[in-house]
Amino acid sequence: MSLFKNPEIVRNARIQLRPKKLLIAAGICAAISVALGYTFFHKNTHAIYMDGTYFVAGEALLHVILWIQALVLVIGGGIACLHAIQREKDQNTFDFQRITRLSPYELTLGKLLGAPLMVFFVFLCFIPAAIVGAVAGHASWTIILAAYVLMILGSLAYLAFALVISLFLRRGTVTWAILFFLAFVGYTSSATPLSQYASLSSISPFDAISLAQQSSWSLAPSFIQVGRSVIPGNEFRDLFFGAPVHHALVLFILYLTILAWFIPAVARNIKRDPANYELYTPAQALGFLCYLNFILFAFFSWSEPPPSLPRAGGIFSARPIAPLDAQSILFGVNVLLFFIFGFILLRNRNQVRRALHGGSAASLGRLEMWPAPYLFLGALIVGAAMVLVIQWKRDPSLEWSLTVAIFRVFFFAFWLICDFLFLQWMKIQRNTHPLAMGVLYLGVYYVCAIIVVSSLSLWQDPFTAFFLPTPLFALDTASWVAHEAVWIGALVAQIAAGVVFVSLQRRSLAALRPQASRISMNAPAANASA
Amino acid sequence: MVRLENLTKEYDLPPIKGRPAQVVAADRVNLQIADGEIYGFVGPNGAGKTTTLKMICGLLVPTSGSVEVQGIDVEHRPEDAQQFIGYLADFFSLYDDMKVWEYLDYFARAYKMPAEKIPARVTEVIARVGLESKRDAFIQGLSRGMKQRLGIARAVLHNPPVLVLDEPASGLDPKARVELKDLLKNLNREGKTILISSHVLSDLEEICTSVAIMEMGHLLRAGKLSSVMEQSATEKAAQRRIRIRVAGAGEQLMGWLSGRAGVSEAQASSKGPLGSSSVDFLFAGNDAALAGLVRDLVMAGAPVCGVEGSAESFEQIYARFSGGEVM
Repeated sequence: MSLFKNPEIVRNARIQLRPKKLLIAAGICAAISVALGYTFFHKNTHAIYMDGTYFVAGEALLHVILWIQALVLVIGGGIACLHAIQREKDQNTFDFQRITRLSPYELTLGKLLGAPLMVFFVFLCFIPAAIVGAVAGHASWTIILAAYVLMILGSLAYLAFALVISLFLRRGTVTWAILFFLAFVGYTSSATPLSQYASLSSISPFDAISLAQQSSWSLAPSFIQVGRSVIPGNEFRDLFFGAPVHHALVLFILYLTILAWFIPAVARNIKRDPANYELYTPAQALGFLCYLNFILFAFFSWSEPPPSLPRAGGIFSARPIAPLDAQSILFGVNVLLFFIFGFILLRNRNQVRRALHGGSAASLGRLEMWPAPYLFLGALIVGAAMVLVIQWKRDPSLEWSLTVAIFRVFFFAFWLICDFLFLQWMKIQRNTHPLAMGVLYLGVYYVCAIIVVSSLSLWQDPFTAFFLPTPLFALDTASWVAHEAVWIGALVAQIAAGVVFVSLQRRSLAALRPQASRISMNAPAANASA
Repeated sequence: MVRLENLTKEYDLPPIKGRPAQVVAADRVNLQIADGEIYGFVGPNGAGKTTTLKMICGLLVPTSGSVEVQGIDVEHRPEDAQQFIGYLADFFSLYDDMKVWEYLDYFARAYKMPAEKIPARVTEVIARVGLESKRDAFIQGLSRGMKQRLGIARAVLHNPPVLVLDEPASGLDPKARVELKDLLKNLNREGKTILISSHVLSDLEEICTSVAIMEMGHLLRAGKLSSVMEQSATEKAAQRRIRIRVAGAGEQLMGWLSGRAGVSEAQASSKGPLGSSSVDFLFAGNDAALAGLVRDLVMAGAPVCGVEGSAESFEQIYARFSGGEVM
């Protein structure tokens, strides 16, 4: 089915793009464009005058218009997508869409491109002003075109993320979701989200504005003296396993791959019973974890930046990072990635009930251990890849112990398993918000443990590993040799805690099992036929 | 054909007074609904009717068991099965900012009807539900009855062989209900299988060919309406409903009857236009016993002007089967 004939897009077009609304929107955009144009060109008439044209004014106008367009696309489109599914559920119209013959992908694309149609129209309304700015500013057309491609693709990636959120929203939570989305956009658009250890610039669609400011596609590093500091002038040079690549190309591929993860995630759930939503299958979730780790490893900056630089981009390597420190940093980032992975794997009571009704003894065993096998497998794969990459990239002169590295992988795996067995057990409890309660209890535990450990100054003490994973990040060869038994004891304690949660989960599952003794009251009509 | 096999749905309710509640909305329900039936689902609120209908449509996934529509497993091939289903929910939910024809056009496209046939079909369906004058009106301006008719128009738009209508008569005025019944009868004459749930039992009795009485997720009775009623009559073979009309007030007769053996559930009606009133009661006994009762009544001086046996209505049968328990 052609995209323009997609019924959901046609429906949104009919609702949003009525002539009166279009006229009002176009009028507002024209007024803003004219006002901005007048301001910039009038202001610069007697100022910098280059090459017989209003060079500076044109450049400034182009950048402001690009900024407005990016803002409209990301924020306006994001809010529209956050409402796209949630509002249908609120209005009780979603079931009627689910029962049509629209395929899940048609419905998903219809929502993704249909809900923000007015936003797209507003974006188009600013194009004439951008063209004026580009012409006056002598902009490179290939760079402007690339900037627009990145802006649109990047926005679509954010909109797809908003659609994923919309799918899982409950009644009355959309305001919180909008606030979260705005914070997410703000965070990823700032200069620091990827930390100083990533040789990758910002990943937000607002980067397209910076790209439009470039005069060439050069990859050569440049330097700008700011006071006593030297900062990198070329923000469009990333390092992919140490090799320089243009940031625009990286963004292009990143946005495409992000879309390739988010759109199928929405599509595989959008026509399902909401009680059985499952973002990805366990195997797909594992793939998503590996994808995120691939990005992490590929753009990891294997050298520490000089302290004077706010962001090194991997080019100002003062000294290489010690391999064990690199592993600590990678594990630190992986705490977040594994929590995303773990939350995707968790099952609710409905899903567990269905599994119990149709399950065998073997599947019952798997349910009791869920989601430990996949977490363990994920930790092993990521841990092994991490060790291999560090072996490849490490400076041989710096401290490295394969035993410590492997121990860290196993400790990390069992610590995660323990936490998620607890969360899974909580999630199948009879509560209004069982998972939220589980997260709350886990959070309270960690906060209390951190307060106690901080007050006793035991952050890096091996005994702390019985209660918190923090010493693991500081574990080095000397500590391992000195306290090997304590470390192994801490690992065994994690396993023992995991076993406790498995037994608790077994009890909860017993309560959810179909009752064999239940006598059907409809027995006389059991085979009633008309 | 629609086939339900061991259909079970369990879920949790929000805690009631701090105590968590678990519900079996459908408990191993088995049904076979033949083509061309009008199948009524009856039961109190929370009996599991809507859950069952939603599982038939593939909107809810059963905890266990299966549903087949036209031989297609709804859970495993929902889109294939759903092309055969027209669904109307028990709530009004339309896109208020669309016009009537736009709304139907959208669903015609969503059901992947051939593009060249859509305008004619939309016009036909609009005429069928009597909304010709509102074709270009925005939905937000329609009355409740009109919105319900538009919902039915959407359900029949793609000409599905199976219609699933959840409380289609709720909120309709008496005239609109009569129109709805006529519409359903006409659709049934065209060969459509209609699954309908309703609280208006007299309406169901009038249009349904078969019924399923549900309560707390259980199927209490199911089958042809006539056989359900016959079965009920058989179960109560020793008792039958009798109506005696007397000239004047029925209170004295009530008092006299209440003391008689074999008489139960006596109810008097108010005086009619001709000054007579009647008393309905259940009588346990054969014809000779009934004759004896009437003779005693006449000899006692009661101005008896009529004696008739009355069949139990579906409403009465339902009331007897159902404890009216709500989950």
